[in-house]
Amino acid sequence: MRAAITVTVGVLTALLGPALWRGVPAEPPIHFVYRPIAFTLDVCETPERHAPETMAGGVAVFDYNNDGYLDIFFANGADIRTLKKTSPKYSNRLFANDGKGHFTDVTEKAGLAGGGYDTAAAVGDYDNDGNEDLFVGGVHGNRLYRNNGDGTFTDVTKKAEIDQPDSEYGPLWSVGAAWVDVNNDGLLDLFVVNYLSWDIRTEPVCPTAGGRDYCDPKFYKKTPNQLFLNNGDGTFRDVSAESGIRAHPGKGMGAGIADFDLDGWMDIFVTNDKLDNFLFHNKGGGKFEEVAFEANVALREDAEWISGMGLDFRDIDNDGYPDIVFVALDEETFPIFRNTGKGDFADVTRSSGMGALSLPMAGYSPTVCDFDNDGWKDIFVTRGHVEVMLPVRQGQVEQHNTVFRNLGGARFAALTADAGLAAQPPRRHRGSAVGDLNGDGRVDVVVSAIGAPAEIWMNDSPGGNHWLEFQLEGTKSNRDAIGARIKVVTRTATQYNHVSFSFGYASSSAGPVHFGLGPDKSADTVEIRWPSGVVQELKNVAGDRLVRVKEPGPPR
Amino acid sequence: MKCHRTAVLAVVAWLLLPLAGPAQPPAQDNLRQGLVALTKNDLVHAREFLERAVKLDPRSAVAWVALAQTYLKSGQRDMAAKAAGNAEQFGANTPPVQHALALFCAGTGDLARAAEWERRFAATPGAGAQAAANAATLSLEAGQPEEAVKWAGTALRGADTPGAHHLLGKAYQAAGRPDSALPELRRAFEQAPAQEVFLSDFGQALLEHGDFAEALGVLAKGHRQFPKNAQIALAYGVACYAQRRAAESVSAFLEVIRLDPTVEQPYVFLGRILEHAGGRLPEVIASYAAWEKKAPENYLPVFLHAKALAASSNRDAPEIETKLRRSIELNGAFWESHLELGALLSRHSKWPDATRELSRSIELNPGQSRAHYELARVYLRMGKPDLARAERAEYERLKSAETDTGRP
Repeated sequence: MRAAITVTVGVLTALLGPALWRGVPAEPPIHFVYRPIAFTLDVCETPERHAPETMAGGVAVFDYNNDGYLDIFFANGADIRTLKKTSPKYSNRLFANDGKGHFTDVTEKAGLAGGGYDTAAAVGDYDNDGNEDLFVGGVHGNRLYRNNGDGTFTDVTKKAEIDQPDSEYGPLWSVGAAWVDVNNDGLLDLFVVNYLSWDIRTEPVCPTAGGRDYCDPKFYKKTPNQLFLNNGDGTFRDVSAESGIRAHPGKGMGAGIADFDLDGWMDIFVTNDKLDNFLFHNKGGGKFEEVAFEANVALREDAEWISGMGLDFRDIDNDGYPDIVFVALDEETFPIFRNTGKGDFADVTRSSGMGALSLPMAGYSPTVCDFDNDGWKDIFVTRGHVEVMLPVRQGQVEQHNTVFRNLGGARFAALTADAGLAAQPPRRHRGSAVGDLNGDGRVDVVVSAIGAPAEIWMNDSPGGNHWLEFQLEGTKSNRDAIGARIKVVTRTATQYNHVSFSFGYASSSAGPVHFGLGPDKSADTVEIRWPSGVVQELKNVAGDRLVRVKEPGPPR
Repeated sequence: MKCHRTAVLAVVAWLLLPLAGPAQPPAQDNLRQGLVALTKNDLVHAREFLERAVKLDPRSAVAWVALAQTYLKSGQRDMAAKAAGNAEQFGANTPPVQHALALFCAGTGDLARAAEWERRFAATPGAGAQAAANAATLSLEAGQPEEAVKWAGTALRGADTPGAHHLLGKAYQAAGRPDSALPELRRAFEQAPAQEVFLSDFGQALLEHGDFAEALGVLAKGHRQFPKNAQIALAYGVACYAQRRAAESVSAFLEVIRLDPTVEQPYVFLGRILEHAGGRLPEVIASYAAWEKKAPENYLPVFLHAKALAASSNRDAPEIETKLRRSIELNGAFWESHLELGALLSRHSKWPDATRELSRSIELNPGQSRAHYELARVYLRMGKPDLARAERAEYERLKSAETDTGRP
């Protein structure tokens, strides 16, 4: 009998085996596991629903102590009435990474607790001393922290002169910033994104079923963005007006930097909330013209104003031209503008599949990165709604994050639970930053969420794809090499990226530039075009490692 | 009109009551026989007896009004009007005649007069709650909402029934008082939840009031309870959309089309949420194709069909342009067809043609912003920056006006 049963089982296995095998879900190509970190974003949420309460949550990932491991900084709120950090719960936080997945709170020692209602974080080595400095933007107050190189920072805001109220618009509310060398003088300049004109004394009241909710931006006035030129002596000069930036007030939510027309000057794209976006084309020498309409990126194809949130400005289809990805609220989609290479862009939201996928989603922070190392950059989006009492199911206010996998040539598939991102409850997620936190060659993500623990999503995607990372050091160019374009040619593909720490909403990712190599173990050639104009080529670069490259030639 | 016919029979029976019993004088006997014949819809004999009755008693308002009804039913409207005039002359203050004249006027389509007669009847002592309800109904139909509110209130005070609450709710709605309407329609629904019309009207009132969550609950229940009611299915679809349940909304609208393909609204609604159709887009396209086939001279089906095709895959397929042009051929005054065609031509770099279509769209509907934006893009590509700037400025102005509603 035993033999008969064995035979029967064998026959069944033979018959059902393939079917059963097909029934097993394929391993998700991108996957994350949750790791906690002891930070809760406290925005001082009140029943009055003051606008800044829902617009917080900047995150930065950078190596603050040059130990080779990426550390994490969180911007935090304050008492909304006084805009002061009246309690330790409002402290900004810096966590040092020991490289083994352990993070230690070093805020006090570093001197980064902050003092105001902080929203945004932007990392950049503005003094070219090899230590990453930190700009923290907030409501009616910004701060610049100079990294002393010994694990501490000094608040140099006053000396730097980057926090003056606007003579016409009064105190400004910064929700983002980008370090970028706009005049190629080897010094990082500072572009600050300002949201709208807000004053707690004149806050509009927006009643909804069951109380008050955050108001539509239409009830607030526009404010201008700012550009501060680096004088090279620790001070900055406000060139917002003379650069042409100030002539375009808006309701900025994010800034991305890239040389979209490859003319050697870094351009700036700004998303606006329910207004036309801005594309500030750098005409050279730090003079800008706003060309969003001409370049077809002012609005979506249907000419509707949408709630433009965070963005990323990177080449997603590997054609060498930076594309634009930004997110918005539900029913608005997450638009993708593909750079045509002819000075303008095409709205490919629908044809990329992103339109249908993102229609029911509300997003805040998109970060473009190759999470499965297959050679195509994917998009991780933090999700959650602005409002708290939508006349809809609560599930649409608090949402899970989603990673949009690039299927090649900018066609996307959405992964949420499949990517492990439903392992935590849905939340009102806000900022995000990316970087390889544990040195395993897979890019991890750090996410903030209102009134909830921050999330570290460690990338444990399967597959044996190879990778390469580049840590550039400018000599004639700015030391961070922001703006440098990298072209990687492998046996099977050619791909591009550029150095920019501006990713997503209110956040900064200052790790090395990451490339997935797919099956290729090495790059045949790597071409680096430095902001100084120097072109450098590396040959036969072995993969699965971080490559440090110093700009050749005489220093600045 | 069915209710009117029922009412006519009722009133005839009522008029007959005093004539029952022992033998009557000739005039009354003819009147009785005429009324009996009218009740049986035997118009030939009704006319014969009633004409004889008014000849024998020319001041009989009852006979005149019955004869007026007979003439009306026989299609002799002039003679009917004349007979009704005589009835009014001799029985304007007689309650049964007032009621009968109300029914007669309703039959002629003169609802204002009908309402007036019914209100006079309802105002007589002892007329009762039903008379007040009839007065309210006729006032409502006559477009006199305040009178309808007054008489529906009287009816409700006379008899607290679900129907009376419903009537008062409808009257308040017609009077533009939705806040007063909602509680009445709610009471009607709560007292008689199985009444299809009460559920439907309450659900729609909730929608109009912006109570989308409750509307969805009520209408979802209604949609399950009365799956063949296209009106409830339509309202359910709207409620789903308001609650951001777009996929269910698409399903509901497709269901409405299945239940009653002649109703225009679900096609139009679907046309506005095509991006939500997802995997059901082929069904949507098929429904537009069927509608277009049934109504080949209607510009709307062909336009919506083109829009749905554009949403499906190749938005620049030649078929789409053909359909948009056909829609314009059928109705050149529909701005959306010109806009969509202009945008399509712009994508094909046919600048002068695009300019023409977009300009026409603006001419037909100057208040819509998108055509200005599209036109600005076209001018830019034609090397006309000044014109582009002007169109863009107009776009900005309109867009700001669309969204600027002042303080919340």
